[in-house]
This record gives sequence, C-alpha cells and structure tokens, in this order.
Amino acid sequence: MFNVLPDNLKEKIKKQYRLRRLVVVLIFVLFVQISFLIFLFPSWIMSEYKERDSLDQINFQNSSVISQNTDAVLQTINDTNTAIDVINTAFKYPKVVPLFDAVISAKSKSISLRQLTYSAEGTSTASLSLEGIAATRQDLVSFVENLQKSGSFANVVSPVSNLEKDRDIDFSVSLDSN
Amino acid sequence: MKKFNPLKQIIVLLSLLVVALCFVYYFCFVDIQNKNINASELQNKMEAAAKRDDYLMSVRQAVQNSNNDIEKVNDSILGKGDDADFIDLLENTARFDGLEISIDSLNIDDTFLNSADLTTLDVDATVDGGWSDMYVFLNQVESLPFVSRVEKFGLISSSDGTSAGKWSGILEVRVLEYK
Repeated sequence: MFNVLPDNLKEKIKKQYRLRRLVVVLIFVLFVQISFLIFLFPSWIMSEYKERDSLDQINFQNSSVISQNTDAVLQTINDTNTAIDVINTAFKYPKVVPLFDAVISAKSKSISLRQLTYSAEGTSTASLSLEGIAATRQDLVSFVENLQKSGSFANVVSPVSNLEKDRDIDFSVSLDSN
Repeated sequence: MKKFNPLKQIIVLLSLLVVALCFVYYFCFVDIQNKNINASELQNKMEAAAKRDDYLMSVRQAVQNSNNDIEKVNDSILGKGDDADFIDLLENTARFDGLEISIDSLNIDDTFLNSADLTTLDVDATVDGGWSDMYVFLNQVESLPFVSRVEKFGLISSSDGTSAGKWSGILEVRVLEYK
C-alpha cells in the first residue's frame, strides 16, 4: 500500500514518522528526568535537614556554659603559670641564713667578725664580704681554709695584705656562693 | 505566512523542557552536594568542639582541684595597695624579735619583672639590735608568707666586735606584688 504512494508523499509520511519517533524519545527522556528528580527530592530534603541539624548543634555547643567560661579558665591558668614562673625564676636566690651559718661554722673563737654583707647577684649566686679581726695569722688561714672546705662557697678570696701582721689582724674576705 | 507543523512545535517544546530539566537536575545535584559537604564540615567542627569541651572540662576540673594551691600562690603575692600591711608585718616582726627598725625607702619597681600584672615592692630598712635577734629576724624575713627576695643584708658590729654586742643591719628586700 505504502509502495503505491507517490514518492513525495512517501517522503512526507517518513518525515512525519521520524518526527513522531523523536517526540516519543523526548517524552521518554523527559519521563526519565522527572523520575530522577522525584528520586532526588528525598536526598535533597535529607541534606537540607542534615545541614540545619548540624548548624543547630554547633550553635548550641557554642552557647554552652563550658565554651563561654573558656576565657576565664584559661586566664586563671595563664595568671597562675606567670606567677609560678616569676616565683621560680626572678625570685629565686641563694638564701642568706645558710651562707651566714657556713661562715659562723667556719669561724673559731679567735676570729671576731665585725661586718658581714650579703648581696644577691642573680638567681643562683650571691656574694658575701666579711670583715673582722683574727687573733693570729694561723687563725685567719684556718678560717679561710674552713670557708673553702665548707662547700657553700665557690670562691673565697683573702687578700695577701691580710697576712701582713701576725697578731690582731684586721682582715677582709670576699666570698661567692655556689 | 508559513504555518508551523504542530509536531515540530511539540518537539521544540519537549526539547526545551528536557534542557530545562537538565539544568534543574544539575542545580539540584550541586545543591545536595554542597549541603552534604557543609554538613560534613559542620560535623567535623562539632566533633572538634566536643573534644575541646571535654578537654576544657578536664582542665576546669584540674583547676578546681588545684584551687587551694592556686590560692596559696595568689596569697603569697602582695595584693595591690597592701604595701602598708607588708611594712607593718616587717616592723612587727623586727620589734617582736627585740630589734629597732626604721624603713628608709619604699619603691615600686616595674623594671625588675616584665609582667603586665606583677611588679615588685622594694623595701630598704635599717635594724639595730643583738646578734641572735638579728639572726632570728633574718630567718623570719626569709620565711615571710609573701614571695620575697633578700637583695642585700649587711651587719656591722657597733660595739667591740664580739657576737654579744650590738649590731646594726641594713636590709634590702624585694617583694612580689600585684599591679
């Protein structure tokens, strides 16, 4: 039947078929797209609520008492650390009493002190200067040796001029603590 | 005037719809992706914040447990404006030990410490009395309830040089103080 039609009509009918086929394909594609969109919608809703939920939780967390008190806690820790650091460094010094004790322990009855001066020079060192009268030269030498042996002083300096006299010697001794 | 084929019109319309839906589909997909990425980042932040909160809780607990020690540290530092109390303490200690004391100078020294909250009070004093009293006083000065540092302590015999005689002393002490 189709073959008996004239060529131009046959061509026209074929064109119509192609167009209709294209329409069917397009409708199918449209249907697939709409199906995809319908299936995508729950995912979109889930993502939306997941995001909102996370935002709410973050806001809640940021407004919690713990987060708000952070600065105060950190300030307390910092202040205390600063104070402890200062106490342990700047205010550390060789105590005076043990050094004076060492001097007095090294002294015999024939040594008479008339001046003791302590000066802190840092966190671990201090200097002492002593002045006094020694009964004899040997007493002074013993006194200086005792100071050196005491272990409390890194440096004991007794000028040679201390030994000029042999009795009732006015002496001065400089000491550096360990 | 040329009349449009209705089928062609339908094809054009359908094509436009397909293209439009492609765009809608693309934007939906990108939006979902962005929302998921955003939610994931927020979750990570939340987990980090939760860990930080746990850490802060433990730090707070530790601070509370150490409150007594922190108070001891704070109490050992002279309060702002408590200079007079410290001078009274020093004078009373000396007098209790039987010494005569006179405060020669008081000075707030901001240069000793490089701190925004802490400074030092420098006290220079002269004391007079017996050797043993001086020794007790020195012991007590080094055991004061405030953080202090004896910068200088000098003793000069004002009698014949025996320990039993009178001694004159100079004391330079530095005390930690809040600004």
